[in-house]
Amino acid sequence: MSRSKNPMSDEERAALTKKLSDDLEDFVAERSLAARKRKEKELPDTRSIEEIVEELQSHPAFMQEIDYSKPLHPDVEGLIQLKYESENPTARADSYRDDGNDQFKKKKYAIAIENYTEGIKSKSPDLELNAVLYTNRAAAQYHRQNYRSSFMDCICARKFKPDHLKAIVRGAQCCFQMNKFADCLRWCDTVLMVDPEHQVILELRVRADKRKREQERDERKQALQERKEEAEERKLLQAIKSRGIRLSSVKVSKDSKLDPLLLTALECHNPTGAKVHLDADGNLHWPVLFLYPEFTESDFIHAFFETNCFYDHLVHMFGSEVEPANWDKEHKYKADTIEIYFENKDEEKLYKVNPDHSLLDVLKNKKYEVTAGTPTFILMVKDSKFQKEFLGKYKYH
Amino acid sequence: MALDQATKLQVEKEMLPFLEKGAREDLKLIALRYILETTGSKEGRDFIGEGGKFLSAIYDLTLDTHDKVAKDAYFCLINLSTEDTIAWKLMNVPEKLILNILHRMLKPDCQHADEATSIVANVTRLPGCAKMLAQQILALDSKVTMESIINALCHVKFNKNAKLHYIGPILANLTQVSDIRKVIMDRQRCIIQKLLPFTEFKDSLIRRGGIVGALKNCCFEYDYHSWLLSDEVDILSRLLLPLAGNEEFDEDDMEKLPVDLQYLPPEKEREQDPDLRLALIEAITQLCATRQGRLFVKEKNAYVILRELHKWEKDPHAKLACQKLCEMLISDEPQEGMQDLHKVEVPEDLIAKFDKMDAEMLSDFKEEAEENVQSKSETTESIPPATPAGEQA
Repeated sequence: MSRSKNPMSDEERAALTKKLSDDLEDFVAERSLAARKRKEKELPDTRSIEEIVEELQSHPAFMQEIDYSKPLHPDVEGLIQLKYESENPTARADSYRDDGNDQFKKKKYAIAIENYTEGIKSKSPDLELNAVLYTNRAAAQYHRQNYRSSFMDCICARKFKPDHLKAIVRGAQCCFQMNKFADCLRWCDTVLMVDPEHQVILELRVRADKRKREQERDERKQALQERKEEAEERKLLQAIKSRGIRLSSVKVSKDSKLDPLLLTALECHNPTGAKVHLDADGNLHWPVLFLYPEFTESDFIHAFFETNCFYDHLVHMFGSEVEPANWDKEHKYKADTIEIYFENKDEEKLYKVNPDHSLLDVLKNKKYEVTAGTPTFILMVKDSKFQKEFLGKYKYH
Repeated sequence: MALDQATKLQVEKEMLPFLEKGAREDLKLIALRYILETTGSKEGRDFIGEGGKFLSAIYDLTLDTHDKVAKDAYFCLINLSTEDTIAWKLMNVPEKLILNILHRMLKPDCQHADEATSIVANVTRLPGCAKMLAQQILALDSKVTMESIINALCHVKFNKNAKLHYIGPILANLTQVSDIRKVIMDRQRCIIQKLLPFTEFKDSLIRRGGIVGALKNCCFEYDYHSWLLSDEVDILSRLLLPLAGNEEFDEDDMEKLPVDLQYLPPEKEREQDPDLRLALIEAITQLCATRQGRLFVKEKNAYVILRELHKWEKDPHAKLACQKLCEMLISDEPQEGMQDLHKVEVPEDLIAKFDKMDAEMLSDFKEEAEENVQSKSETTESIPPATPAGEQA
């Protein structure tokens, strides 16, 4: 008879039974304590019935419409993925088109564009469907006034289906909006090849034709204006050249063609925009600048008639009957006490001007060069301290 | 090559088998060459054109698979169709031969389309033929539409193998028929509008001339004047533009002109062909036949363009037409009841008087022109030979 090595006595069995029973109770007590503690940390369920109903409605099993403004129920997201990430690209493109159309009808063009774009990205082999997606996106873009994008989509649509009427119509409308009237006419004529009585396009064509011709007229008018201005400029330059007046930064060679720099050389930089001009009798009138370095002041003469002499202007500005300038506190600047100089920048020399000479006499002086279209002169009081100092800085001529 | 009746029959009997479709190619070519040479003379054309046998044989050969044969067959028909009697005969064969050729040449891939076009242009020169072809085109089951003709005409590169300039004269010929004019002036469609830019088409006098002729013909539909002059068509601008030079007008006169005529560039030239200038002037004159049209032409300051044209014009006929139009535009409106000039009945004696005045004026202008030629030795420009287009007088 075989016996176990350590047969368990009754006492031992009873002790083990009790220990097991105690262990179980301890475990249960511990668990229930932990559970109670956890519950104390958690907030109690305070949801109302309405809230629960709402939560249920957002569950795909009960929902009626997707509200994209709220976070989606995870199950809905899953379903959407199932719907759009379909293995079949045509089915996928198709559902995006439907959604795009829904958004389009609600005038939510930006969302519609996104839908159509997703549809296009599906790369369905269905040519017609792609043409529709592009055409619809073109329509949405058109409504957002993105005429360029819309136009590009019309071209893409026609790559899939060259005679897709809606795409051609839209393309014609885009051209019109972009002021490309000649292109518009061409697109209109393409529509009319398919549907010769397309009312919208017939009307658009009349308008485009009219606008195109107005545009051409405006261009011709502009060109005429430019030609006239150029002729005027030439005449003016000829007048200046024939007097032997030098303009700075420009070499006036005998038979050179009109140098564009020559024109800008006459552009005056003064804010009034005064500019040398030729009157009906062929006389020049120059804007002239008088500088008073002693007071860092200046006077601007809008139109100095070329045959007037300097003294005339001095009398007019500094004559005995004229109020002295506000900076001339001591009233030193008088017609007869003022001496006039001009500067030759290359030589860094000052040249004295005889006040009885006309402007033309001075400008013809081969040392004189007109800069920025405005003859400029330096005026100082004869024999003054300032004059001596000022002339000292120059190699006075 | 005088042929008696017996010889003719003999030739016919001997030649025809070689012109059949199934004949040997080399023989077919030689036979056709002979026919082509024969059609070079009036007598030869009369001979070939007599009876219908040769004509239909040649026509069948225009579809020959051998390119040279087809081309020679076309050339034969071009020569033959210059004879009025043969043209009439070609138009009257029951197979609608001319309509078929027209249909053929309106396909963008048509071979020998220019040759085909010349035949149709030649045939429709006769008003009777034009009328008959027009009826065939307007028939409900017609395979050719006016729209397709104008479409080919307005697409400069319609057929890359052919120029198709002669569709212009064809259109001018067809528009002698009022019903055709009404089709191309369909207010629900855009047909005549497409022709308008071609009044300034520099590449071909023939195409341009045909289109100007067609437009002039359309101006004879008085009921359409207000539509023709409206923004929807704006025919006046396009009729005046070729008559305008590079003259500058003062701002006031300029702004009154149609936009197409405003601020024309210095390089703007007038229509070089005096017949076309005359046709354009006559077309505008027609527009002035109704009171409404005349007031519109006056309002658009057409006068200043015509005044400058009159100073410049050397051609006696164009100058006379221009002068009469100018006079109408600067004179007072006629009295009540006489305002629609095309309805005014002019007594015989007055017509004779006016004709005499015109003739005198014309001879004055001619003398003037001759004096000018003597004083200036001008070089005469050669004008490309054109198939005459019968326009409505």
